[in-house]
Parts: sequence; C-alpha cells; structure tokens
Amino acid sequence: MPQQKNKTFALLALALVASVWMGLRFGSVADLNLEWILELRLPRVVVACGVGLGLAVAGVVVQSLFANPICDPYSLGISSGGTLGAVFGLTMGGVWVPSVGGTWVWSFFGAALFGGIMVAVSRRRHLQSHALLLVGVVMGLVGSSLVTVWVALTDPIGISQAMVWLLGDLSRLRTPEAVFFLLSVIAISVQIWSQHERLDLLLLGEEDAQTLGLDLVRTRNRLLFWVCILVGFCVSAAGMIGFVGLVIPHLARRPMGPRHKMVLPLAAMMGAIFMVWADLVGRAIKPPIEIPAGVIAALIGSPLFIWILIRRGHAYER
Amino acid sequence: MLMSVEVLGLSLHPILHNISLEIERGESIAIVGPNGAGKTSFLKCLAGLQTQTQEGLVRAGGMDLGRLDSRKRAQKIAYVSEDLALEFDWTLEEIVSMGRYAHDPLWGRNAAMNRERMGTLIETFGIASLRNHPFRRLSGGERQMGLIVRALYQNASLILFDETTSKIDLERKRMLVRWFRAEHERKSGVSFVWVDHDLGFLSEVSRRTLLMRSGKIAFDGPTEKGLAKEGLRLIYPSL
Repeated sequence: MPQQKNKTFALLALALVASVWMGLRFGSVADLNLEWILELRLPRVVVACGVGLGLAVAGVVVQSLFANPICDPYSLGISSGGTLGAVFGLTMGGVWVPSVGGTWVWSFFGAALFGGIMVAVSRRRHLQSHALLLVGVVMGLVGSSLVTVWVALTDPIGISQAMVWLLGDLSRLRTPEAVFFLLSVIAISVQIWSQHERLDLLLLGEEDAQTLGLDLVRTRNRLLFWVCILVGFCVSAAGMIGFVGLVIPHLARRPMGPRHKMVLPLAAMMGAIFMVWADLVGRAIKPPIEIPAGVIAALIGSPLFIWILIRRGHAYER
Repeated sequence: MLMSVEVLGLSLHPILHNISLEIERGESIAIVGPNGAGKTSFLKCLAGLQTQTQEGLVRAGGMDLGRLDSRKRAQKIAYVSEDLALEFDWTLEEIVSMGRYAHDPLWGRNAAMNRERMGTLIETFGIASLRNHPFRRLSGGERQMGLIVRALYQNASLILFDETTSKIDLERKRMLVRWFRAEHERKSGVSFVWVDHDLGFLSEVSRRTLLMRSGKIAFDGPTEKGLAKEGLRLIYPSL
C-alpha cells in the first residue's frame, strides 16, 4: 500500500511537471521566444498552479467542515465576499481599472468580512453544519447580487471587463506577483495540512467528532479563517473559478480514501494540473481569442460533477 | 484513570429536571423509559454534547467535566450513538482507529503500537473479516458492532451506549452479553450506561436500573426490581 501511494504521488508530480512544460510551450502564438515565454506565459502558468492548488485545498476543507461531499468554497459565500471586495476596490475611482495592487487587500477584506459574519453567526447561535451552509448560500447570493449592482452603478461601460475577470482570468499578474501568490497559497495549504487529523474527525460529523475529543468550535473557526484567506487570495488573483473546489477533492479521494494526510497534497497537485490545462485549452481552442480558464473549468467540471452525483446515487443503492 | 461519576442537580429546560445520581466505578447501569423521557438528552449532557445551556454539575473523579477541554473529557467519557451516517468511504478499521484521537496522534508511531490492541478487540467481537470494508456499506448491526469496539478502544472510564444494540442480531447480542459480563467479573473498573428498549438484553448486562419518565428518574435500584412488571408500571402505567 505505501508503495502504491508513493507511485501515485510520483506519477502526479511527473504529470504536474509535464503540464507546466506544456503550459509554457504552447499557446495562442506559436514559436514564442524565451523572453516572451517568461514574460507572458510563466506568470499565468504559476497563477494557474496557485489557483488550482488553493481552490482544491479549500474544497477539501469545506467538504470536511460540513461533512458534505457536495460543498465547495463558493457554497460558503466567502468567494462572493472576496469578489465583492475586489470589485469594490477596483472601481473606487469610479471607473473599472483592472489593476493588481489594491485587489489583494480588498479581496481579502471582502472574504474576511463574509467569513467573519459566518463565524460570528455560528458562534452566537451554535449552528449545526446544515444551517451554517444555508447561511453561506444566502450570503453567496447576496454577494453576487451586490457585485452586479455595484459594477452597473459605478462603471456601466467597464462592466464587460469586469465580467471577463469574474469568469476567471489568469493573465492579470506579472511574474513577481504570481510567484508571491503561489508561495502564499502553498504556505496556507501547509498550515491547513497540519490540521489533517482534525479534518479526518470532522468527516464523521460534528457530534461524533466531539465524542472523540475534537474541540469543534475552535477547529471549525480556525479552518474557516484559513479558507477565507485562501479563497480571498485566489479570487483576487483570478476572479471567480468554480468546480475546482467541488470536483478535485472527489478525484483525490478515489485512489487513497478520505484520510487528509494524503488527500490534501494529492488534491493540491491535481488542482494545479487541472487549472494549467484549463488555461491551456482556453488559449488553444481558437487563437488569438482566449477563453477564460474559469469557463473551461466549468465546462470540464460540470459533467464531472454530474458523474459524481450519479456515482453517489449508486453508492446508496444496497 | 478510572473513576466514579457524580451528577448533581442536572436540568435541561424543558427536558430534564433536577437529576442527581452517582455512577460507581465499574458499574453497569440500564436506563429505560418511554420515547421522549429524556434518556438521550441525559446521556448527551453526561458526554458534554448538549449545546443548550444546562444547569447542575457533572463530576468525574471530583473534576467538573464542564471545565475540561474536549480531549480530556473524551479520555474519561465515551458516547456511542445508535448509528453513524457517513458520506465518505472510511473503512471499519479506520473508524475504530479514530477512537484513540483523545490519547495519541491517529496515524503516527503510537498508532502502530496501539494497533495490536485494536486488532484484538476487532477479532474478539467477530468483525475481523470486515475491517477493510467501507463502513457506510456495512449492515446496521455490523456498524453498531464497529461503534461498540471503537468506544472500548477509546479507553474511557465511562461508556454511554445510546440504543447502540438496536440492530444487532441475536447471536452477536449473546456474544456482547458474555463479553460485558466477563468484563464485570474481571473488575476492570470501566462503567457502562445502556439506554435500550431490549429489556432481556438489559437484564443480562446491568445490575442497576434507572427508570425515566418526563425528564425525571422514577426509579433507581436493582435491575431485577426495576425491570419487573411493578417497576415498569412506574413509567408505563398501562402495562
């Protein structure tokens, strides 16, 4: 069994290296020289790795927090908060300006605000997971509506640019920012990985986890905090990208079971590979037009999600 | 460390009303009562799982359980529910392994050392052939056997069983009776509380019975008296 695990990790590491090479080598323009590759393709491949890694890890955590395999970071409404914060920051001047600097901070604050409300509500009312999830869904809807209203009111002309970003755009960061982003996401993911035993217990459900000695409230709040930061970072770097956090955790659990010590690194690598390919496909379909990676991720992720639902249906047939 | 548990004036509005009792070290107690009598709420109060504000004290070995952190409390008291509804494919062995969370890192070196004890328990309770099966695909009775084994592996001083044998077949129940009787004779010092509707099973595994009705204890005494017809009439008047 350990040999099988090592083999799986080695294969995935190879696939990740190959995917990164493909992402750098191919694109909408053929025969790009090295300087341009480093200037244009390297940052977006690095961002793709970071977003895929971050959203997959966040997805694993959210599914454990709610002991529910059909949750993802967006179900919590935190991503909507991050998007709202980013859009608010980008349109502060009254015009849609797709700059990078302020977005980090604004997106983080938006995500933290929505995450903070979630934590406050759960602390005050001792909500069970399903009730907390409903609060998250409602907050997600509120956040999305506020984003649309805010962009329409502040800069109706710039709304198309905002929409491109909202669909998942990996091309906005330069190399230093992209590397900083990737390193931050890895650092947060390592912090989350250190909680792997607590995450295992959470998969049993709240009551059973407490019976076995888990400090439920503290663990849940701590993990929610890290998820807020992770999703806030990803949203600020690439806008709204769905399905990675929903689908990748399922794929990661298939070869090794639900134990988080293995699932988290596996999901991180799978998420990175998935997003590099989503970006590559988006660039290669009809050059020089680029289809946002978020759209490709949704096109691949939706059928995968339906397949998972069907599989789950089979699992319940006894 | 094995110890007795004291319950002093426990109330949980509007379910439980001023319950006081002492569970001696090594005792096996049956709790019987009609639906809605407050049996499960009482067990959850003992286990620290009740989220509503409760009044009164639960002390284990003289310590207020409400002041202990979750891990230390789980070292003293284990609670076993009727079933465990899982959405993920843990194996039976993994579920049982998690019983040690309050004591050791789950998957570290100590886990390997503890595995021998876990293996012995799994074999003793006749579920060794199921150890690598997905827990959620086992039958209800097999899952309940797994949860009982996990509670024993948790190594707590007091184990609370909340209708945990409701789906277990006759043969396995006989095995449980033999094992828990032997445990009592061994004077291991672990205390057990059984909430169940199978009076035959309860009369075999317990020496003391609490009869509950409307959140109060209507009877606290020897099992042979509590489970006799006169005793049961206290909680089921139409009997």
